[in-house]
Amino acid sequence: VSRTTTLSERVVARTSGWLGRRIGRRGFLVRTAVVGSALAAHPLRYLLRPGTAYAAIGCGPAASCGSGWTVMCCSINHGQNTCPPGTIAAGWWKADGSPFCSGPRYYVDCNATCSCGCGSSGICARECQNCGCRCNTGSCDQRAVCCNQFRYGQCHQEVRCVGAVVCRVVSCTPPWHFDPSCAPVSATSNATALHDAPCLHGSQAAVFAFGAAPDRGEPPGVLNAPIVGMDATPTGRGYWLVASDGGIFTLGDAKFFGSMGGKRLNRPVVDLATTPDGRGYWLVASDGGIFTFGNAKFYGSMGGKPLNKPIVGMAATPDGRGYWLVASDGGIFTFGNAKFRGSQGGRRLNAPIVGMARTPTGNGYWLAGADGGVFTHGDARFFGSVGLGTTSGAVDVASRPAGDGYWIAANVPPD
Amino acid sequence: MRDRARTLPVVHMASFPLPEQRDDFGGNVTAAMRSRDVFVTLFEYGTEAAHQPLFAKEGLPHVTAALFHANRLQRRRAGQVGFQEFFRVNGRAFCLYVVAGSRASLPRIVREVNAALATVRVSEPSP
Repeated sequence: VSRTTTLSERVVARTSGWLGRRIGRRGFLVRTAVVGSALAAHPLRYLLRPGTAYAAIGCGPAASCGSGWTVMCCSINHGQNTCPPGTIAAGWWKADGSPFCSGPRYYVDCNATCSCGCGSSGICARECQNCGCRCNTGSCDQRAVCCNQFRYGQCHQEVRCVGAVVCRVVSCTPPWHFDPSCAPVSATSNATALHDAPCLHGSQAAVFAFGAAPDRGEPPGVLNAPIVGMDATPTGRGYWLVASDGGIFTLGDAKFFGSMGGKRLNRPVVDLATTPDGRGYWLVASDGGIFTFGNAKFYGSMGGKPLNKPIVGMAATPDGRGYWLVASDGGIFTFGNAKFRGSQGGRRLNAPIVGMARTPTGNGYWLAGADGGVFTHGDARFFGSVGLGTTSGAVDVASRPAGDGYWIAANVPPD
Repeated sequence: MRDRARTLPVVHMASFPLPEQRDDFGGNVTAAMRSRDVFVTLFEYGTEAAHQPLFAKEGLPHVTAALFHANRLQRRRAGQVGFQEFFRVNGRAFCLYVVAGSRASLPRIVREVNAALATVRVSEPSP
């Protein structure tokens, strides 16, 4: 029986070689953790040992799935300490005496939304549950995901029913100060005061180069906001990274044409796409708002329009005279000369869509799910999917124009 | 005033000794429960919340064994099953949360919880 290597095995093999050339404390610990968990390459897991790296940073007590507590959102939401798509803040509690805050430490439960109606006692009907109970993997924060159908009840009280708790947002700021849906009625659980995760302490960007893609590094230091998207230059000798606060990082021959960093955003930036000549780029926010820089032209947006689900990614047409936006439910929105080639909207998804890429012709596109699933539309061909966990920290992939290599961008724990 | 947290009444009832310091929903006490034990929280959200859809049910709930499930717990523990209901009484919003030590004990626990709830009186909100 012939056996082809899987993408994950090829990536891990490349990575282990790359590690051998560029080994350092951060390089080894961080990259092995991320790649090992992101690609879930079981045969090589002993080589990469993701748990070792994260354990060195720490998750506090009761970090196992069996502890019965729910995972931190940043551990499953690409490093972002926010409610992920498909969830709402449904309640909060505080812990007194936590060493992580000068006052109380606050925890907001992000519960899954219902895909249809309510069942009994404020919970979605069984057929309307959007997520199943599982244990997080790939980080020392191995607490449960979607296992507790419990609601603290101070947030979004206008919503009669929700699904299970997907994850927890953690802050030293009272929830009603950053989420107006939350009432300031206090609940306390000091048992959680020491719960932690590496991603709660900021993140650094890491970029993995494969094939002919050159290693151009990543922005140094702890970032103000996690990386959410990347794109390659036309030459394939560099790339742009964009953070959720709209900050742009240029590596290699990528040029800077402006950013939203330091400016007020209604919603976080979720992706970027570059013009064909690399002399401009678009940023898209989760509400569908579009920001143009350099020679990128505005062809319309979803900003201010009702969306069933947030926008999570975008891709530009080959001539740069249009673009597609994709929402977490797989819905596609076209602008300029971008043609609709199908969508996942209205279909049941095992995991939300997190990104998209177009084919070289522009006559099709791939949609990627948070679980590593890939959906093809138009002339996009299916080449397989990988068992990416939703916990990986990997946030985007950019390929070289020649198709002979690609980069994976990730958020990783700080040194 | 939304600048400060408000702490409203919480009632705890249990069939086992409770520590003086306990989490509102029992996260630090349910580990001590035996299979025959029960822990009950009655948590108030105030008058402002009483008109919200989450608290649309009127009156203290009547508990039945069929309402309990292992996934209805704030903190999952092997063998335990839980129940949660939001409701309003006299213009005040509440949540009833019950943890049972085991499904096998539910018939007796349900009787005891309903008997205890029958003794609860919720006053009108103070002006």
